[in-house]
Amino acid sequence: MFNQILLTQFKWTRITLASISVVVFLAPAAAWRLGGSLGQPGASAIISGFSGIGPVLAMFAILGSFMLVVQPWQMDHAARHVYALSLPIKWSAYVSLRFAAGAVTLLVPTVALWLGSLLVLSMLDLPETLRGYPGALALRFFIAALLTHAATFLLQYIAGKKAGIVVLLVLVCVALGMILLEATGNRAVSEQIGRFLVEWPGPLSVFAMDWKLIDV
Amino acid sequence: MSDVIRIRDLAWRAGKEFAIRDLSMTVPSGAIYGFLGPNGSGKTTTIRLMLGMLTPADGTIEVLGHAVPKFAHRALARIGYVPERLHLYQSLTVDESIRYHRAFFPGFDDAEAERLRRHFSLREDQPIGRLSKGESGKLMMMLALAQRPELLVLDEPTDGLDPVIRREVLSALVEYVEVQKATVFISSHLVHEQERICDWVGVMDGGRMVAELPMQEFRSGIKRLRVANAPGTMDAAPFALLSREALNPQLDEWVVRGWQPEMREWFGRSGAEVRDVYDLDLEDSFVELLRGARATTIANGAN
Repeated sequence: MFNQILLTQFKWTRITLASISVVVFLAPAAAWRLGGSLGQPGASAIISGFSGIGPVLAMFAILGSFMLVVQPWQMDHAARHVYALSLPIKWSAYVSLRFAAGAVTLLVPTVALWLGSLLVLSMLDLPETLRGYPGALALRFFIAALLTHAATFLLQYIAGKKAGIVVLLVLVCVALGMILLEATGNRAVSEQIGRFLVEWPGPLSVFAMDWKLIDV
Repeated sequence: MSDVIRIRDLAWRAGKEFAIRDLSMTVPSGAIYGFLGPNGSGKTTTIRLMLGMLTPADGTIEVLGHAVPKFAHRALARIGYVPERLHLYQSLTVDESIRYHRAFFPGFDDAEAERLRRHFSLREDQPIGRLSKGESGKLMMMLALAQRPELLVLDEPTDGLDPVIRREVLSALVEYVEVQKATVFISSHLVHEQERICDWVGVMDGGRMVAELPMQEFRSGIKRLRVANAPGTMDAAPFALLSREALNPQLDEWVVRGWQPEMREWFGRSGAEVRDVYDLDLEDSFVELLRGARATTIANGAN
């Protein structure tokens, strides 16, 4: 049962998966080239390049996992979920299997990023003081993608086709809250909330902290 | 004989426009139950409630001994369902769709699926999104039959199909029922098609069950009577009056349900006389049933 759900997940999202995988596979090399074009040699070029490429990786983790939820949901929605609901399996079990299948497909770009990182590191002679972390970078990408996948999935399967409106409402509420806090002179509160969200161990810290392949 | 489907006092509402009200239904084991009703009468909604796709506001549903919607998944394992529109994933091929479907139904019969696929001339590599309406209908029927279900729930399975394909689909269904002794619940607004294959009939209109009776009774129990000096009241009438119309001051035309020849005596007691009794064909019976039910609804609303 899970195999078949996984197969459909791959079939429906293969173009998105392939595109993201190619991009993230090339990302470490792109960082190297970007840093090199700024006049930095070897490992320094990658460190420097990742300051620009890192946020792009975070963005792809978000965008990719968003697409990996929406595309299969649209397949079910095209038939108003009648097929899924007519299968002899609890709705909660079906949704869990779809979620798990989506999570498994996230491994494809994760592995691509890991391989791309290994390839670039294999071409470098790292100084004693520096170490490469291809596994950690790939794991970070996977966790960021999984978080987005979980949030999008939850929203999509609870709110259905109104998910876009819910997201918009949340964004409007956040914006209004920030404006209100600023207007009432409570800027410190909004900063505190921001820090809580993006600083470790905040829920969004995996996106905000530095994405590095090479570190001391 | 046990009941395969038992629904009691079912209620469901969608906005202000449409509601299922006080719907009760019993489908005996082994029956081919025709679920008749005009478009928009609530047949598809009732089927979706029956399969646990919608949650009722009130009432109880039991299918194959399982309470629905709570244990709908258990009932669905023994049900072959063909909806009115294609519900399968259009991006899959016929073969991929068979494999996907098989994964959910442990009793899926591969050999039967292959036999039906060939019989229906469906190519394995055909993308479902490119199938014609007839081919889609055949694929859905093929998947439902290959599950070897105890109950087949078919929602307008032949609607929009050409006569040749309709005959192919229906004959595959009848063949399955003969061999497996399965129960069939078939919704349609095509009265004559139901007449050929069904042995029970339920008629629905405006979200209500208007009548539920054996096909034989439906076929022969609804009559048009010419009544002279017809009584004004219906005290203790042994039949149900569906409609009455004055042809002239002395002669009425009545349409009644549950008519038996000995019921002429009832008219005689009030000084009336039944001059003629006409048989109605199934479609006329269906129309008169609906007309009678609507008149009753309007009268109840006025009171």
